[in-house]
Amino acid sequence: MSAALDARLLWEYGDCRREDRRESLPVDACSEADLVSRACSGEVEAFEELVRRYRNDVYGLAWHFLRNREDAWDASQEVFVKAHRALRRFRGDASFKTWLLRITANHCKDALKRRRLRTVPLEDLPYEPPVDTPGADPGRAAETGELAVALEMALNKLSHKHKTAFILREMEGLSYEEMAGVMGCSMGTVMSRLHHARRNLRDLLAQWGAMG
Amino acid sequence: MRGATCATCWPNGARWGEKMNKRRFQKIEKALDGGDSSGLSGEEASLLGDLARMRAGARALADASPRIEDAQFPSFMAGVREAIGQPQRGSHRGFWAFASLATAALVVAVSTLMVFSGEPPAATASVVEQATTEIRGAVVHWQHSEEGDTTVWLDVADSDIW
Repeated sequence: MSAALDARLLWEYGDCRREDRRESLPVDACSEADLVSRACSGEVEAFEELVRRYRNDVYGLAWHFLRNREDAWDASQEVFVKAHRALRRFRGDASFKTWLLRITANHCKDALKRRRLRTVPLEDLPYEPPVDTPGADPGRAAETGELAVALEMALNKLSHKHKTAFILREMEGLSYEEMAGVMGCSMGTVMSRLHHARRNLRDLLAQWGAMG
Repeated sequence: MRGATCATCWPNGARWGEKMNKRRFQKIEKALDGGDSSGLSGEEASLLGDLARMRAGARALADASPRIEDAQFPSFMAGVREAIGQPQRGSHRGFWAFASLATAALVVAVSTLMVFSGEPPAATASVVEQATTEIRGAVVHWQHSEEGDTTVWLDVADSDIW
């Protein structure tokens, strides 16, 4: 065969081979962008993989707001349903996780408004101190555990936006830029809210004598 | 007064004697995020320690948070799939919104028509068909003129009616 025909066949065959390879790529090996693209085109497995990857990010945030496992479970499912319906509107400006957490925060805010959540007494809190790990300082672990319980109570005293800022930064580990994407505000506003959250929490914990 | 004075105690029990303004607090927060902490005063370093302990407490809370384990994932996903398969709640919202808007527009249109259509024609009565009186002994008479006017008069008995 001539070199030109070889090149043409290779180009055509190469294209098919690449397409075949992309389609046969298992979902758990795909990048987030590929998964979103495939989910947008209706591929169920791709969307399920997205749910698998981010279920605990969504569930954890929902639990911190709603403080009830069943409600957080329901809310998480509803978040993914909303995400599925809005998938075509996801532009990719922020990460998929940031987009999901934004839906979660807004959904939980609406749920709290509907439920009129009341403060749960300390003895009803679902928190359990972390399990002792070998080599860990048990005194330090106990101190952290007690502080964590008090912190949980103090968080409930904050406004929704301040609580959101603290949870996203200190519990979810988001960067300021990611937080701005989730909260739908500027980075300056994010830092201001986080500042107020830390200040108010610190003052509350100091008043309760929980700072040690 | 610059800044705000916190009415709480330091961890060692001493009452704060100085103001902790926003700028100083933000300097401490920067140190918490990995910035330079060498220039902090004793009180600022103590506050940095408090924030670090709060961070550790927050991470302990996060670590103790419930999770959707792999074994639970199939039932979680089944719920999501089922909800996706159901018709979207509030899909008739658009219809009701349109119906409300149309009703409001109709009410406004009818009201405007009534306001600007003018007063109804005044009622007129020019033909007397019957006349009666309760005065004992009195008789009512009427007469129509050619100009369209009607005259009504009363014939009263000679005795005074008052």
